[in-house]
Amino acid sequence: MNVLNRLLGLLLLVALLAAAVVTIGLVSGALTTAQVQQVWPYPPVLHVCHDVERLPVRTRPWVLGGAIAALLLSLLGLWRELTPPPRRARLLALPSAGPGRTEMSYHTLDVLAEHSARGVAGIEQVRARVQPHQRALTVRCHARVSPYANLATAGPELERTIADRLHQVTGLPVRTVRVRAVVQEERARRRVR
Amino acid sequence: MAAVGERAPDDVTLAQAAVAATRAVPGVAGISRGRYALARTFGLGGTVVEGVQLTPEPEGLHVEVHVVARLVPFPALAEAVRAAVAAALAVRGRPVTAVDVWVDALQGDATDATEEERP
Repeated sequence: MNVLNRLLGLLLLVALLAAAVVTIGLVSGALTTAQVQQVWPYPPVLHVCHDVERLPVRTRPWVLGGAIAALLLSLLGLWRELTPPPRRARLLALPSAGPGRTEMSYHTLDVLAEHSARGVAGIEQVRARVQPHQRALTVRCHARVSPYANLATAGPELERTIADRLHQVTGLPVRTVRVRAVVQEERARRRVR
Repeated sequence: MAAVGERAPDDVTLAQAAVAATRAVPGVAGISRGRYALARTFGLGGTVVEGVQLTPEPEGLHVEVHVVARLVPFPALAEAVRAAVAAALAVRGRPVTAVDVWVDALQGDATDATEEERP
């Protein structure tokens, strides 16, 4: 579903880009309806192109400005959609005094944060992702909380527990722990074997 | 240094010594084979020591050790492993230039614990 949404988004952005380019061309006189007809002989499109080509002089700057804005927005959207997100480094280098490096994988830190979080009362399921941030660590955490737990206390306790454990084990400061807590449904799905 | 006429220990012996020294450090639950790249020391006759890699350098050996750790402060654990490995190899006449310590897994991580038990 996510892939389909992204593909639809890309198609929409490409269509917006094409429409903006054609509009700019028609308004500025660099393009004619006859040229558009050669590429896409579709009557409704040609009708719109014909109207745009014959816009009153007073309206032209507004349409041109709107088309340029749409062009820039579609380019920005395409650039954001097509450039991959920055990948997390695999290994974290810990401070070491002696000759040699001390390294551990971020996956291990994720496991450590999840392990610590499971010790907090009311936390039923948790997924954590630890990331580096200026010689410190930041944690994003997605937790399912029991419906009988006090959400007001479970969240801050979860943050504190994860931060304390990571700091204790790695020796690095933990800058932020962002917790997204979802209350577990009372009638959870049961799997019968 | 090894005495005159005495055979210098081979890489497998040194790696086994490093493994034994590492295992003896409190806080080390076991030796890992390596998460992203296998760390191994090969000897004659197909002998393999997993979790330790020795790289000879002009001044001595560069050692890489992969460990499964307990929940203890890792920087201190790494320093203890460094000291233990350096001492164990120095006794066998091989000075150590650096010991890289890789914390590959935590005790309780079922997957890694299973991998560690394999021969």
